[in-house]
Amino acid sequence: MALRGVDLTISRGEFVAIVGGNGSGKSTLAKHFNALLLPTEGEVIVDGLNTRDHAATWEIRQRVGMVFQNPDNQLVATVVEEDVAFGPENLGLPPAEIIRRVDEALAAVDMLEYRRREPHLLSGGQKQRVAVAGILAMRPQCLVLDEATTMLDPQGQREVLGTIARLNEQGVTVIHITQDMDEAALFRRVIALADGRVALDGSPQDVFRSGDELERIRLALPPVPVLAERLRRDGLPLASSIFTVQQLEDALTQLARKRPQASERVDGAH
Amino acid sequence: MALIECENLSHVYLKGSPMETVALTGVTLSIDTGEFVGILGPTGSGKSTLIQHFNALLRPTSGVVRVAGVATNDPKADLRAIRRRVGLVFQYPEHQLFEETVYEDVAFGPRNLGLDEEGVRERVDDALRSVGIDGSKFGQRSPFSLSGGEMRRVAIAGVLAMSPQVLVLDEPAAGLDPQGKVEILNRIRDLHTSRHLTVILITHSMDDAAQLTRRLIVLNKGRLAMDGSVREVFARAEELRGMGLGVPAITELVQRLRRRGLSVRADALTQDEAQRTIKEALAWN
Amino acid sequence: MELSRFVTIGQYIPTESPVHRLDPRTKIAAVTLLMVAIFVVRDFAGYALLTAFLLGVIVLSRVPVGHVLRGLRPIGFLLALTLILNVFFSGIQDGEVLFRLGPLVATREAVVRAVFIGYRLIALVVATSLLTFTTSPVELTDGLERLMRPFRRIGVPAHELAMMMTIALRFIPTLLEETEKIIKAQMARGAEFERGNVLRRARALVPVLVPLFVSAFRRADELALAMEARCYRGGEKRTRMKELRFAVRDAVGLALTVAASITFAIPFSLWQKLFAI
Repeated sequence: MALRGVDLTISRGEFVAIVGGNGSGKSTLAKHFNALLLPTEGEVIVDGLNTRDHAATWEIRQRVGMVFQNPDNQLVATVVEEDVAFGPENLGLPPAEIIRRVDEALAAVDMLEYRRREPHLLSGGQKQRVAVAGILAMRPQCLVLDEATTMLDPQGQREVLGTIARLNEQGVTVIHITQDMDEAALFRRVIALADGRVALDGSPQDVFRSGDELERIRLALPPVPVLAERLRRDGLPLASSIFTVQQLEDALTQLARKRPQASERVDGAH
Repeated sequence: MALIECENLSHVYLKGSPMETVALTGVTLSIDTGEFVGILGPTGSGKSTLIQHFNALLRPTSGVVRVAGVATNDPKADLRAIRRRVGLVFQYPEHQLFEETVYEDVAFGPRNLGLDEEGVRERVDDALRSVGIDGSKFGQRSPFSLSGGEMRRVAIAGVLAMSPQVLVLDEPAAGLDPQGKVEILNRIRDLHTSRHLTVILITHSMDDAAQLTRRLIVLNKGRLAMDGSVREVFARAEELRGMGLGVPAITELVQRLRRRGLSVRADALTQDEAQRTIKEALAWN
Repeated sequence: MELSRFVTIGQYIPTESPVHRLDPRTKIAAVTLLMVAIFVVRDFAGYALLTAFLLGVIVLSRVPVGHVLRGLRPIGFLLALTLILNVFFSGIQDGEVLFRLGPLVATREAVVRAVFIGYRLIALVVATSLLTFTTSPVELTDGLERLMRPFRRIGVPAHELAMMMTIALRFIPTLLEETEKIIKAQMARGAEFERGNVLRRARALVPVLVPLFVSAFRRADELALAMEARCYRGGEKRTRMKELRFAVRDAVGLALTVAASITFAIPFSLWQKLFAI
């Protein structure tokens, strides 16, 4: 059983990361969002439409678009702009409209100059951005990324994350499935799954509060919150919400100013 | 004794054609027995090309690569012997599994070496043990029935069964979940310490590099940009950032604290070191 | 990394030319017609006109002649074999003997016929090359799909076939790249692909083919899912971004090809008779 009694609501415009280890059910959950999978028990309602309603399937998939993990295995055409046109063509839109949407979508992911390129000549990050464009051309309300950055190098990851952050600012709901805690920390809400259930759900600060809890569910705290926790246990008065380098840097610098014994350089403050 | 030497190594793909690409230029380095070296570099910097020279899968366009003293482009070089000595694990190695059973797949390497069945069995059992796979439970199962992490370990065992002196790994933790990453990197560390394997590791994670390796080679645009101890390399944070790389989060923290006036050691790499130096700087006991 | 950089899908040369701008269906029909005509041509005059026509198309298409000729290299061996067989073994024993090679006899008739046959081969390759040089794989697939569409009524799955062709073309470089990786990984474990007899070499391919197939099936699964997620449900009610449209130039091109074909197919002697009257 991949999922056991998941109760979840995601609202329009949210910027959510869903994290979990192998076998946590996160990928299974993602495929319920666009009716690629149907629940054995319970319901999945997308924008008022029930995924069990076969008549609504195509409507649901137009509203909730999905980008997958393997950059190669979702590009279907021999030329970038043809691939981006694939979705609108499936929707039966008139040619002039399709061309307009392809232009818009490629511009939105900053890949316009690659429009006549063959997909196998692109980098991983570029391929994923083309995949995102292919979804955008269908004008979805929500973009689900099913571990879409897992197979990318750091540069590719930055490209994709930057793109989806921008899209969210423009109103697209973004749900990002990932195993990378540093990535999850960039989102406004983090849902952690374990054993097919929701284990944690809240802001990154809330979720990253407990290192032990995360380890139990096969995740890991990034190094900075771990260090903050260790210093806290040694008695340093650090806020429990610290999880970026900047935050810990600021907190420690403040502490230093309050300690006259601390060996500081004369021009201490920045 | 230098195990792997590169002297002015250059490699050009498709030389003479309109698609000619220069992957490496003038790389000179040498790696000794017992080292644990990390290779860093932005995409396209030539890391993958470089490691393929270490086991003679690629030959230099110019310059020399020597493995245990033997030049790889020497027509008399015994390539099999080189590939026995230097084991290379590519990215996503589980994509190369092909046999009907786990045992047979791991046995592929030793059989290619011409060992007899007794010798093959020894190697397979040993290799599976060293990656934490129970041979009696998994030996007869199809490799394709295993989980992703298990498949990867079987693939690595397949290379270990060659009994190499050097283990070269290209991003061994790619695509694994956080626990899986920790497990596999711990295993690699064990192989280094308990079996005295020389290890060369390509990684994109500065944190992993800091925790495991002792020496870093940084490539940029096909050239050797840095070659030194982990501390030396990460001290050059600005240069690294200029290449699109970074430093471990801990190191970045202490470097920033130093700039803000705290007298911390700017070269802390591990949690322990950071903890100690921060407490000292704050005179907190 | 090495092999796949070589491969651009098809031999398409993306330049601008009147021939490039023709509807792919026109070009497919024209090439088919030409192929028939090439087989029917019998006399020197016909061959001369054929050559003139092909050269004219080459010039019009802005494809460098050198490029076209280089495309003949793969059939070099076949050409030589054809010539030799037809010169010495065509069964034409009588007529003026041009030269001997030991027991083999070469008559004038045999040589002339051999040259014509060889030339036909060349013309065929040039004509089809012109098609692939001036028509992108996307256009070719679209053209074939449109041509097959009327046959849907009798059960020909035109759209599905076109989709399969597109996906196959798209994945050729990707699979080539993967094959290279797999070969290297197995070589790193001591596999050798160059040694031994045919049987041994065939067995040596198993460690390459099995992972390739496994991965190909996985790709197919993932791709199908991705296509469904993008609302793909077959060819029904599907539109295309670029609709093929017949233009005046297509009518002109087709008409010219028909006229030319008829002209060189009909032997000169027949023309003489027709106009002498």
